[in-house]
Amino acid sequence: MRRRIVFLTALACGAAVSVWAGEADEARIRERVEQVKRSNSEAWQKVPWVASLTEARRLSEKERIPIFLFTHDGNIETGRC
Amino acid sequence: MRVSSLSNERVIDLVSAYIVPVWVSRDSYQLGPRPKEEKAELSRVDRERSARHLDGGAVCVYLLAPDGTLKTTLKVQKASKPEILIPFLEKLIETDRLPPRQPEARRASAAPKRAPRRSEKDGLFLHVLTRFTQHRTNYGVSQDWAELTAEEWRSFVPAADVRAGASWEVPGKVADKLFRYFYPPGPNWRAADSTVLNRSLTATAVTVSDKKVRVSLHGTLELSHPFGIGTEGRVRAKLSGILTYDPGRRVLTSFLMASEEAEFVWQGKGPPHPDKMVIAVEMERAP
Repeated sequence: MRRRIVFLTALACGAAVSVWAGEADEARIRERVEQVKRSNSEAWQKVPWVASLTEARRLSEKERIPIFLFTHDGNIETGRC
Repeated sequence: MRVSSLSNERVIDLVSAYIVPVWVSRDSYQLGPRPKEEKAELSRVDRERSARHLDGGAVCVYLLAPDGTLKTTLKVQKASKPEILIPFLEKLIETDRLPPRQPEARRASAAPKRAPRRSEKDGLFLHVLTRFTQHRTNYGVSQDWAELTAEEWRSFVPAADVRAGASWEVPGKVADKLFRYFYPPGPNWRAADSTVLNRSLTATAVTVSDKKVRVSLHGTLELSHPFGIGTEGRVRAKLSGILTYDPGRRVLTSFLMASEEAEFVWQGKGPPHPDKMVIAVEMERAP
């Protein structure tokens, strides 16, 4: 009887540790994902970029101000550039 | 420039307040085709730059006058440095005696945010982010979206009668749709250049109930992705993840994955350059 109680107690503790480990893993993974998201600088998006070069030309002519044209390869919006 | 001068507050202020700002991707990567008029206008600017022997290159800043005439250029090696770009812009503003634009005009002319991605029926997008953790150059964070069909993402969830503790392998072709984006930001951004060399992705049912199934994910990856022209790049990563599934509604309610360890080794003609990196994945929420 005593042996059985010890076995069941050990089993319950094991299950509790297993559940705890799962939650700890989830919290750790979530924090890692959040860290990467937080490190993504989106400051450049504060600039009121217009939609296209042709639209920039139209506005520039209308407002009589120059154009800042930034050309690149890839996709600046996703950091794949 | 995205994470250097274009993230500098003074540069942002000057470009936003006095000039019409626009960016153009020369290869329209992930952006779809550009209209003919846009291509023709960029070609005209390039021809003028070339004829006047001004600095250029794929990555470059051009200042155009209101009549479209090219005023001057600043190549990326200089434009990426705020200490050079700021006086360059200040000189323009002073010389042309530019008044600040009205805040309403700035807001009204800004391009609208792109519409959220919409997957096919019952499909989902997994948002993949990567970055170096200690590279000498700051390449920032890269973002990609892997789209999985309903049939594909269901390979991450167990059969209806599963018991906690059961494990199964996620099919290689499904894992590869995600893993092909697990390369760091750098000079070669094309996902099409990725080749999965080795991978494993094991799913384990951690807890199972009528309302919620929690699944842990453990995987390894070896991915080939050239860093730049004539170089080889190799990602080696150990990955962990956790997802939750609602069996009643038959939907994924969360999906998280991150690298436990990840390294990118690029090799040109000299010795290999190993750099630590981190990979993170999150399910895109429906708008």
